[in-house]
Amino acid sequence: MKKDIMSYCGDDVLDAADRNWDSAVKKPKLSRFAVIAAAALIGIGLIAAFAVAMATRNSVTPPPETEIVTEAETEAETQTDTKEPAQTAAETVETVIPKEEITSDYVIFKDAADDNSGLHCHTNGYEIKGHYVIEEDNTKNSITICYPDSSFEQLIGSLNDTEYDLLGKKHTDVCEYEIQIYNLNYYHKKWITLLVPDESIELITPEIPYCYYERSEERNYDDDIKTINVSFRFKENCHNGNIWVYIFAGDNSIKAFENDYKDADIQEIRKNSDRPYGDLANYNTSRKVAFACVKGYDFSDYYLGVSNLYRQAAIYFGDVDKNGNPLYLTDPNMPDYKDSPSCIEMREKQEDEKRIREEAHEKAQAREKEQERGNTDAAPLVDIPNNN
Amino acid sequence: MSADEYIIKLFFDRDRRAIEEAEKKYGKYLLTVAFNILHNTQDGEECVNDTYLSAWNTIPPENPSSLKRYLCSIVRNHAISKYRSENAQKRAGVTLCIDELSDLAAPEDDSAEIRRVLDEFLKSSSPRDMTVFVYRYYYMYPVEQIAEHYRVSVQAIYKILDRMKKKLHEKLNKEGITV
Repeated sequence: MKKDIMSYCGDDVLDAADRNWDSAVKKPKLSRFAVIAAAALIGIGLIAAFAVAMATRNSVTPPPETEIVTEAETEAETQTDTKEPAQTAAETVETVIPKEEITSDYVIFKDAADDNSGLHCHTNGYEIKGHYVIEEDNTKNSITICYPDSSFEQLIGSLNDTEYDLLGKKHTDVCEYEIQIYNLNYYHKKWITLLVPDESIELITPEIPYCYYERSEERNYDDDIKTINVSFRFKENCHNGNIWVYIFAGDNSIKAFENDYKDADIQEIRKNSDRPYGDLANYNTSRKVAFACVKGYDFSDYYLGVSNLYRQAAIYFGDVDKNGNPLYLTDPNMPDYKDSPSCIEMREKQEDEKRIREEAHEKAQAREKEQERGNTDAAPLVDIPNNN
Repeated sequence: MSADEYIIKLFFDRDRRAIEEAEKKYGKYLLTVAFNILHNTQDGEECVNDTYLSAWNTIPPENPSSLKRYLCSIVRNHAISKYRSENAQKRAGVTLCIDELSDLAAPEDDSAEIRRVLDEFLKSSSPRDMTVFVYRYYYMYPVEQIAEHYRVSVQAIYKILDRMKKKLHEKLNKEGITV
């Protein structure tokens, strides 16, 4: 006798699924107000991040002595007044974990999609491990930045030889990290990780800071983990800085991004990269590159992420009205943005409205005609004077 | 004493208020589970009533650690049986979404092992994929509703389900469970 396999599901799995379901409560469609508010917030965030980056750059001020770690504990509670299978009562517990005193150099790897998150990686010689999570539209992609278990000094030694040969000058302060990226969307056959350092950091490898992977059709599930190596050093008199981590994934359009990025003058972009997000906007071919980035996303899975990117791009390029709102919100046919989710949605909305108007117009006309016909039909009811 | 413990105590005491209390707390939830399978409110209500009766007959000796899951499991089984028996009479070829997992139907004599492997598999999946799989094949939510909930395309949900099925199949084979 065989049995439906799902009937073996454990209680804890079902509870976890219910919690996930509730925490992924359907987001309402973005209203224009919400879009504008989000754009404004992103703008403010960028300015703040820029200000912070400028204020902290090249300073030797150690990072704060404590960090707040937030753990969200969710507890499934059933309520009877809803049709959902389970509901969640979220409870947030904040604990303050003392942080070791930092007196040496550090770099912060930042998720380019979220300037507020980031992992401090200290380079003072001890083992460095960190876990870095990008949360996007209920999907968590995680990046673990770790330092190999062997001692820092040993690695510096071997690195020094390599670097000497590679660059023709000896580095004594090379930092090497391994970034492991987990759980990239399974359906994306291609993805690129782009690392954009700020001016205080010199990326050593790769010279052109992108990595390109193409998955075979018959890929192994273990391929979910990708590792990229990042080597960099601080420039003279610099002790800390930021590296922004971009992840672009897609099926077909990544190639265009790769080509555009190769065509662009990286050194020129670097020269101008004194602002968050690599300052692609300051370079004359940057528009092309940035839009290739944006279009490299898979629309179906990352609706909100892509919307954010389009908004950011509009803000970078000054395609905004006097209030700082993206112009494409008022013109859904703007060539640069016409493939953006917001434009597509707005065009569809406009088409719907047009169709509704036309239908209403046709109905009104039909009614008028009917009335006219009715009047004509009614005419014989009027007494016709009999001349006879 | 939690509400569930209180209700279970009523069952043990053979107090009929147990059913009233269970209905008060889980009635709508159970009806939702049954409705997702049967798509008929009246049939769903019948299943829910049968569920209370089954619970009455089985507690004691059963003493479920989670009353919610226990009742859910019963109502699901009732609803699936009802659906199958009614549709067997009406027309052939009508299937439930769990029939998509028919090639993964498991032998009952290996239940503890299957439970372990299935739980391990689901826990190792990403939260979203796991939830999509459970909501489709346990709660039998329509794919359209899941897609809407996650704001992704229906096709994307089908892709997730296909992928999960393949992986589960591989996992079961790897663990030596014949399906």
